[in-house]
Amino acid sequence: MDLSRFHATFFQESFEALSTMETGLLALARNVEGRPDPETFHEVFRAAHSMKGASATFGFEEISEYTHLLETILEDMRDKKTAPASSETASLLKSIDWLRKLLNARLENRELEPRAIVEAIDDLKTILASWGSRTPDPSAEKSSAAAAGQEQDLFIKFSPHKSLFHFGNDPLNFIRELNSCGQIKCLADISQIPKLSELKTDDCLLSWDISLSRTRSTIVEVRQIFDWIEGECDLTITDTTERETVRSETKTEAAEQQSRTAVTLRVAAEKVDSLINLVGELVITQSMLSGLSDDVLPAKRGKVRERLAQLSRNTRELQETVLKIRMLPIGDLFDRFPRLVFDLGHKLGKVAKLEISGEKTELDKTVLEKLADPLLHLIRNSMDHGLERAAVRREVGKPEEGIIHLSAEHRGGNVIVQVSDDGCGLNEQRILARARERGIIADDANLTRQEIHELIFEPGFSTADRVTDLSGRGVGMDVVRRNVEELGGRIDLESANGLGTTFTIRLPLTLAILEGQLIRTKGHRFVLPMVSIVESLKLDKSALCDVGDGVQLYRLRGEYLRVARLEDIFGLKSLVSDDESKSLLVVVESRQHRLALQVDALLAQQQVVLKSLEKHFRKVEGLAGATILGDGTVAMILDVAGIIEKSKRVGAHAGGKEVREHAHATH
Amino acid sequence: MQLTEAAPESAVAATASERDYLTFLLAEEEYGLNILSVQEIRRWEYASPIPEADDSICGVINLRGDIIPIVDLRKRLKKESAAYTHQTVVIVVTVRCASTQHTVGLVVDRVSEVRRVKDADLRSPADLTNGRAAYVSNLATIGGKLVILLNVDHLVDFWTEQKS
Repeated sequence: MDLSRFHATFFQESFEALSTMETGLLALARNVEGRPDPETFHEVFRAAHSMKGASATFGFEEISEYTHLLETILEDMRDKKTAPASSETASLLKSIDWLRKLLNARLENRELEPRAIVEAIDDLKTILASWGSRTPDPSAEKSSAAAAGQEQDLFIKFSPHKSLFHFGNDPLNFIRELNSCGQIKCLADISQIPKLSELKTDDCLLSWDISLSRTRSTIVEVRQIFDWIEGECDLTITDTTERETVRSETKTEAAEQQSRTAVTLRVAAEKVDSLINLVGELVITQSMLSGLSDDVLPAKRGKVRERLAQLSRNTRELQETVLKIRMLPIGDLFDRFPRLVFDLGHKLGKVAKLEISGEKTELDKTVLEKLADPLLHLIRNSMDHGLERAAVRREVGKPEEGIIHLSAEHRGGNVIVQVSDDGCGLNEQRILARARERGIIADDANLTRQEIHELIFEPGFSTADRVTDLSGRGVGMDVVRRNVEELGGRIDLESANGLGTTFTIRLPLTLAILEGQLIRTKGHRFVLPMVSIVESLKLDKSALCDVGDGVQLYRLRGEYLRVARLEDIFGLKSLVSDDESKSLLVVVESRQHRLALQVDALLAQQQVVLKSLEKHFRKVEGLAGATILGDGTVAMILDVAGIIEKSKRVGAHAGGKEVREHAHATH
Repeated sequence: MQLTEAAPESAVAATASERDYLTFLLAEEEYGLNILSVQEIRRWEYASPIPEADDSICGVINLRGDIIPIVDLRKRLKKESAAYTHQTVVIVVTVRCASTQHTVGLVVDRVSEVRRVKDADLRSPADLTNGRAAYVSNLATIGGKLVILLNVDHLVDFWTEQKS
């Protein structure tokens, strides 16, 4: 049988299994003081076990042999109920790296040096040997004996999928194995079997209700029996013994989660992108239709409007549902960081722990992918520059173990991701010194604390004395900010000397759709992203002051804002003849800077689909892209950060600096 | 449209040594584009202006979900501007730049027909144009008239161009 078409799935699942093992091992390493969590053991073991079987099927002998060794070590660990020591964890993690190398070699169809493979296997054998000499934890053994001694009754519903036989599997083998765990009573369900004339003999149409009584196996162990056919059957196992321990609860919860995750589909990303595009077009067409309803004869207009409103609701719901398809939990991204912190800790000689919360928060897949690099850099920075060495921490009365907290949550239509550490915080003096050195600020410049902190985002900035190969090459923070802004988000930081630093990244939920405010100025229509709007107000002429040199300020609640006009920033020609004197101000913000935009009118607020200008044209500073309005015309979407940059160059000159100082004096 | 008159000639596919060109009228001169770069022909419609774009760029339109730029070819070739009439059309072309493709619309006075020209009948413009008008790929004589054949890839180059 040609198995090569199953290769893709094998590799995908194997890499995932490796991740599971890695996460599990790190979790176990953390629990050195407490009792190692049996569920974690099972997870790691299962992953290794599946990989062993699968790689053997595909003829990847070296992977199977290697995994078998690993499995033996893990089994030993599980039986003795002892967690690995830190150095052992490092070796085990290295073995996972080895497995990755082996998998990649197979994936890319190249040969790994046989010497290398032998070395890797020898490494593992050494661990195994040293493991054999470890004495099991006596107290652990006692309690496990107590737990294992208990018998339970389980009810198993085993429903293989039709295709089970196609993979060469025989349900009888699995039922036999169940039989070896206790007493079984098996009832077959033959309701799906059609008439003989219609029967396709290579479809599996049977399912079984099995009651397994007086078994010493746990639900997880029973489920493990079916590991090999995990994806080809539906399995529910319930504990039917009358027992009230918490442990059985957590096990059925784990079993439930496993059956929940079994109902997923693998879909190529392009198909989903294509679907989202089409739905986007549907939204536009539907809003164009709505616009035409005014042209309908009055007699029919009411009915037409009603139907269009229904269409609009359906389309909106379809759009929301489709966008959710691309949402993935941020935990997928966070998962790779504990390993990083572990490795960095060892490398830098620092003790650090990574705490994660909000891993279930979902983000659009593309946003998730683009967030990986910025987060990586922030965590590296925390490890390298933020957290102090254990000795230093002891001196200042902090616990030796530094903590980096990674969190994510949904708040008001945005996703907030935070990276915070309890390290030494930003050193303002060193930042100022370095900024002066690099000529980023003038020697006599007077900056607030927040402004000093913002300096680290300047290109070419770095206060690292030696360039480590981790960070400190001075490329980092400005690239991080640019990456975040490309996602339509913003990054802010808060730091307290000696206490730590927190970076907050705010992101819109999807890349492609944003809430926009349509504005009109001199006859031109633009879309302002709602996320950048602070407030809008009617212009009060008396609060406007003309400083000179083209600089205009507006006094708002005791503070001064610079005023700018889009027609000046972009050099627009007026499309209207009259001069609308009643003007509005829209206060926008980006990177801690604010600007008051003077516009003629505020039009509708609506969801707009962001379309790229760069695809067929080029990037224009001050524009984030374009969108298609309900009447089919194209409107430009403004990029507030770009507008603020441009406005600085247009008009304002020497007056600018004094104005800023004056404005900040009012703080 | 006059395109249907071209049917008899283009009923048979062009052989290796000849190509089909879409000819059009611009400021009293006849021009041609390799038919393979032509995606479609559209009626002129309003194009939303792009801030700070070159004068020759009318703006952008929505082409089945993509935002594509519309270039006024008269202005691009530095000819006299003229008002748009009911015959004014936009030729939507595919431009190749480095390893990617872009779609651009070109506003012309009137579209003529698809003509087949043998490669042997093409004349190089090199010593005639003296290095200017780099967008001219060849000159051809069709039906006794001079047709200036353009290379779209050199006609528009937004992606590396600086704002003038």
